[in-house]
Amino acid sequence: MTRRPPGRSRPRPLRSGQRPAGPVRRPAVSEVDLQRAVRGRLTFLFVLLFAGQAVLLGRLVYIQGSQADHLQRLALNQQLGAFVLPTHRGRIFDRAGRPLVTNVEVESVFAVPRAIRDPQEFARRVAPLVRMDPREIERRLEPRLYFVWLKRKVSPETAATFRALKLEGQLGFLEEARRAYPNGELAAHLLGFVGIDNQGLAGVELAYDSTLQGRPGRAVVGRDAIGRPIVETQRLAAPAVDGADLVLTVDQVVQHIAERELEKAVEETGAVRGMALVMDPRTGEMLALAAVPTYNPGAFQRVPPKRWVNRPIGEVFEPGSTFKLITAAAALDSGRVDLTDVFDCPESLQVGTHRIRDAHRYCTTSQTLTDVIRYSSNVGAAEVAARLGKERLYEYIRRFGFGAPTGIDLPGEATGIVRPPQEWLGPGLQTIGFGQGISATALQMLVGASALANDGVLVRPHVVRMVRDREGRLLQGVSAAPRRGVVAPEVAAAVVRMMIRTVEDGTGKLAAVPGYVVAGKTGTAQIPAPGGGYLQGRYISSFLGFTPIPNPRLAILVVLEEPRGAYYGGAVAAPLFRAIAERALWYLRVPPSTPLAAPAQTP
Amino acid sequence: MIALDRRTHAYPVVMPDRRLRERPTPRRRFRRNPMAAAMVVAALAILPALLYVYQRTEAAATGYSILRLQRELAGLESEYARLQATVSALRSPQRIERIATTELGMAPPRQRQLAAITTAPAVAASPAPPRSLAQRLGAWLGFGEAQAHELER
Repeated sequence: MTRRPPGRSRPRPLRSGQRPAGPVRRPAVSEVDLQRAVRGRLTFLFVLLFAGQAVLLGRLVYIQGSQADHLQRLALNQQLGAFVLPTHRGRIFDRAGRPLVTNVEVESVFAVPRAIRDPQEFARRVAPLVRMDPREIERRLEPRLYFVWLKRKVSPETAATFRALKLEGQLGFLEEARRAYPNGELAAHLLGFVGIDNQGLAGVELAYDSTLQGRPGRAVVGRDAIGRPIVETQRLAAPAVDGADLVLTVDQVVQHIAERELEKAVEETGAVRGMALVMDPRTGEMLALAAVPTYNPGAFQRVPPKRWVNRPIGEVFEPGSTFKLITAAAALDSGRVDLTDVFDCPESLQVGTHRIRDAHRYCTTSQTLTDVIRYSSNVGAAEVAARLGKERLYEYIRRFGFGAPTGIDLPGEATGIVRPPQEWLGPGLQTIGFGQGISATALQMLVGASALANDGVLVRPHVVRMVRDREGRLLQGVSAAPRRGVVAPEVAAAVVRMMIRTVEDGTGKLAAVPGYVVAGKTGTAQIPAPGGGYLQGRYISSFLGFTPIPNPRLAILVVLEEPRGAYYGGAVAAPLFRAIAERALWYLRVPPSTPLAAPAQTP
Repeated sequence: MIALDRRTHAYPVVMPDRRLRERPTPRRRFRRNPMAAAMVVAALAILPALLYVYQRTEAAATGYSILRLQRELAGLESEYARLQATVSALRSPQRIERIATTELGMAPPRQRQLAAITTAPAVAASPAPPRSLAQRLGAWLGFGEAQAHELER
């Protein structure tokens, strides 16, 4: 029998509808039931968590398993960016290491059309700075684009003016390298110029474009939230290789002397154009290559394209009397003429229906080959050429390099016009003997004649002396140019002696340089008319010479086209030769071979 | 038997009056204080992570420094190239000649104003006269050293 606790009476049974008095008392839950309930809930929670984990794990396996590559690619595309590592275009120096062409960083301006709210207003404000019609600018600003060039490679002042417009977000600036020609117009035809993307378009810039360009590199780098590259993620795909520097054979000062004297001569003689070439006859190294009128390579667009032509190597002309040197050398070397041979000296020479005359009559009865050269006799040269014959003269002409490029390392070289002997009609043989009916470039003429100053050996002219890397290490030196003997050394020496006589007491007296022995030859050629025959009263005056003799250091050819008034080579071109040779010899510290006159006594 | 008498010393020893408490093992300690154990485990787990984060932050900061220095270098190189171009332009023969002739009133030298100077060939050095034994000995001992050098010249 169970005993009730004291004070507690048996609960009275409730009637129907009667509510129990006091708080409702739930039936007591046993310990076992409670444990069972908790266990059930925990199990449910565990199963729920496990299911959740299983779903997540399944998703993880799905992503990491089948989607990994695709998602990785997406992520990399978003975070990594490939970019081009820029290179420096090689610089160009003269033979003494003075910079002729360098690079400077300048800014280019671009527009962001998507960010421009009012294209009309934008175009109106920008137009004066880019020198374009506002409507044209507006047309280029297509709203879907993010990038449109406005003006490239502007000066710092222009960039500052663009910035002053306060068009942030709509305008942008990028740094680009621009070619700088610190000497302005100096050696413009030789150096050439580059396009807007620094690609060589003319001169050395074009001929050595691949050497100067270098090779841009490639790298991949991750970027942070605001687009900055994260250095530690950078991976080099291909290293950038800077363009190599060029050291030219040209001497800045000799080039300046040639240009200055040529410009002066063109102005004084009223010539339309002029050329001056200075070469080392022993090596073929070009020391100067000047042409007037010239242009600034940094602003080449401002002159007509015709002026860009490197005329000393790209334009042909009839050389005239300077070509008599080739005829004389051919005659002596072939043995058809001897130094003691005497030629008739008539007033004129009748060849078929044509009559050949001398400009001036220096002889009355007879003349030697030396006299023919010394007095520049057309009649004498015609007689020498006739004695040589067409085939032999043609062979020597080709041997001296006429009718073929000299091989100079510059673009646009002309081959000249040398017709085969079968086409030498009428007095063709005789006129070619004194330089008419044949065309050559100034460079061909200089190189051909220089063989006489070089013991009869022809050299290949060149303008690049060596190729160096940016740190100055030699990459490639110009090896000895291929040489070819064209006449015997004695023959060359004999012709040079004739040239010395020409300067001493012949047509080239005005080319004499005090203190130095000069060998030279004058030239005065008519200009062929487009429809045949020759233009009346228009001439090309030239002088070709070497100095000092012996061991010549300079071979110089000067050409003045269509001078007004005096037009003989001996009168207008010889003084120009003298001016260039004199200054260049002093600059090169070539000691005089004969004593100079005593300095004037100052009172 | 004095010699055989061994000296003995009695050293006082303090004996523990109660039994030393047994040092609890780490496992027991952790059982007693699980919070500390959790802190240690957490610290051990987090520390490498913190170090790694610190290292990454430092690397990123260094990377940005490198970027800044690279930009600075590019700017300086650009400035150097610009200055070189300016120097070349200032040294150009045309400019120097223009200033010399128009501003300074100078003119190119004329032929009479130039003189070629012939340098005399170098005189061959005369051989030193043979030195006597006494001279050589004196030089060796330090006497007349200057004299000896004079002779050698």
